[in-house]
Amino acid sequence: MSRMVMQDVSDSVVSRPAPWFSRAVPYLPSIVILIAAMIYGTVSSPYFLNFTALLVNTGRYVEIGLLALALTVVIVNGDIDLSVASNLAVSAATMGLMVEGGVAVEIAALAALAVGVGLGAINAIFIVGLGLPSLVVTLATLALYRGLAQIMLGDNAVTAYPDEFVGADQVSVLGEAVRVPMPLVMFLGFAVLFSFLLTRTNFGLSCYLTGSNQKAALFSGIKTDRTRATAFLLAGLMAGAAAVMLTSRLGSTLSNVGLGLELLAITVVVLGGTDIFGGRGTILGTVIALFAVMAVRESLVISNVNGQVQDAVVGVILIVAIVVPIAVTRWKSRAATRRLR
Amino acid sequence: MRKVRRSMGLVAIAASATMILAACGGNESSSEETAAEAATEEAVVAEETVEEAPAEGGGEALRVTYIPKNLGNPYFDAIVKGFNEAAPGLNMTVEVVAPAQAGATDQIPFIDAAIQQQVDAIAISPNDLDALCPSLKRAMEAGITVLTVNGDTAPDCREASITPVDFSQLGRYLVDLTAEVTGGEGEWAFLSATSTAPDQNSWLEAAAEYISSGESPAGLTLVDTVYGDDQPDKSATEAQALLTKYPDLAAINAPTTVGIAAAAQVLSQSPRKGQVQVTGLGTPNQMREFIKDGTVQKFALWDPALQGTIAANLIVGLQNGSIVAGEDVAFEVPGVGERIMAGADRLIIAGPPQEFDASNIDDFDF
Repeated sequence: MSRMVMQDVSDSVVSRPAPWFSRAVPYLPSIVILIAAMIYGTVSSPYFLNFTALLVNTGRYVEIGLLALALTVVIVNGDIDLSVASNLAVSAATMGLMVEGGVAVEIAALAALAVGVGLGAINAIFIVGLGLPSLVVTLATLALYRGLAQIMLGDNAVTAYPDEFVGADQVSVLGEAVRVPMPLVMFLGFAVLFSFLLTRTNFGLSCYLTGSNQKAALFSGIKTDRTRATAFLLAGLMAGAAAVMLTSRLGSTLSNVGLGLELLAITVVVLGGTDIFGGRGTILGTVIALFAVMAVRESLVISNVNGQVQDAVVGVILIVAIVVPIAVTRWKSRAATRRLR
Repeated sequence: MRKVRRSMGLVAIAASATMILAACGGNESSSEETAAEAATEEAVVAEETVEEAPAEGGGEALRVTYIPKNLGNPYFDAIVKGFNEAAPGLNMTVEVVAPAQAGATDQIPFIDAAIQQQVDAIAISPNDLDALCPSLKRAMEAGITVLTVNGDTAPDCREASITPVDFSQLGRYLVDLTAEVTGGEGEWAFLSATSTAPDQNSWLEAAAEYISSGESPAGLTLVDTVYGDDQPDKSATEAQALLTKYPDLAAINAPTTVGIAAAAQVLSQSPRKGQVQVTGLGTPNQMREFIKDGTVQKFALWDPALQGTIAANLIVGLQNGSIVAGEDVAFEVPGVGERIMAGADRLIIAGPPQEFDASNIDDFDF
């Protein structure tokens, strides 16, 4: 890798010398939302500020979080994967059918991960191998994989899971005193891994370069194909992992499991400051955004706000979160232009 | 230098995150204050409720959360109405919350929130047989009374289930309803939903058994069964085809709300209006105009509000210990009558089918 490229990267990615508050700008919307939601919840319901319940309830958001981690990488690459939730359904269906057929649940869970990666590989073949746009390909596999799950399970629900597998979301890592739920710990573990991958490895560097300018990256000797394909495999792996988590939480599998989860995950990624056009984004942002979305949802539901209103609030927040950083950037560049004059 | 600055930024974020967490965990005094304030507010509300309600003074009001499948559905609004009419007399407050979509897992956050709010009872019209079970079981472990209303989960995830009508008798009832509107004479046909609809098929099967048993009214002849796929257009086309195919047809019985409305629409503009009767299962709001213009004499469904009334009364009984959920336990619902938790599954039938005609249709709004 030439010195020029390195120079470019350090300019465009993270290390431009700037005051810390300007580098915190991408996280600002989620942090503000997180704090605002905590205040709203505390004021509007006496039951909101229950640390144990809040911790335990994170279990419900971990599946979204796992998908969001992998989607951060995919989106930084300048791609998108809309098929993750449908992939999750096929992975869960595979696991369900295997458990029903008498296979041990551990093996079935590994099979779910393998199926997840396999379906991710199919996406990668179409997108990277055949050079088709990821939006179109994963829009197609969104429908295809969901249909596959429906063919596999029909209208039947699989409920044959052993008791010790069901309810992992209620398992506390630190015992009963401080209920730190296992899924949360798992999610944070994955977050650290993904963060390491994006910030400390050549793969991560390739992701930012590919997403900033794919052609330039290619001509600079970056293996953009391998980088993008790897991201889709990671997305598949996380879909498989989310399938296992969700199945354990629900104790049952239906073909419509996780319907619409891809949009919630993309919401989290975008709210976390990742540029939907690629080249910019951090795992830390995604993690903060997940907690922000969670705080918003939890504070609304505990205040007896109905589903439609919750969706509308999240929509408004997303628009504001996207508009504010753009406005700040524009304002700053205008100020800079004025200074030049 | 750059690195140092960057880590300082991270530290700043971590510090603010810690502060947020500390605010959650540490400030228990302030949260207690908030709770106390809210409790005062609640007490004020409760007093008002007591003032309105003459019965059952004293004691804290029972807090009930009802979670319908989704909101903005007149059918579930009617169940809510049943709750709300019963609640003041029972010293009970009912909170109604629901998700935007009727997905299998969409009701889970609302169940978890009700647990966190330490409500006394959860009534739910579940969107899924199994997926809600872990949350509902947690609610029961927390001492919350759990009932399913108009839909069910696995029996071990709730104390009892209220079903609108005895569906095993519905096939027989539909034949008798046809006999009633035709005077017991003539050819008739079923206009059903899809050929694979499990509910409709079980009723059609039961109707066929009733007819072949020889107990059904002898003057009636079931000549055809057609399927409108629960689409208004297809249902109307099938109804029209029945009229053409059977010149002596006396009645079309559509045990589906889409089918009956479509058939009534066809008949209302047909010269054979009045000669051919339309009946079956429909909602009053969809069928009102056809009752008013004389196309339809009588049709049926059930009264969803009754389920809310029974649920509200049952919750009180289960909470004060006067009713203990169990196999074939009978209990009295004031103003409604005795109901039974039938069988090991503790299934409560809310009532007989509710018939609608010109005399009572304006009493219903769903």
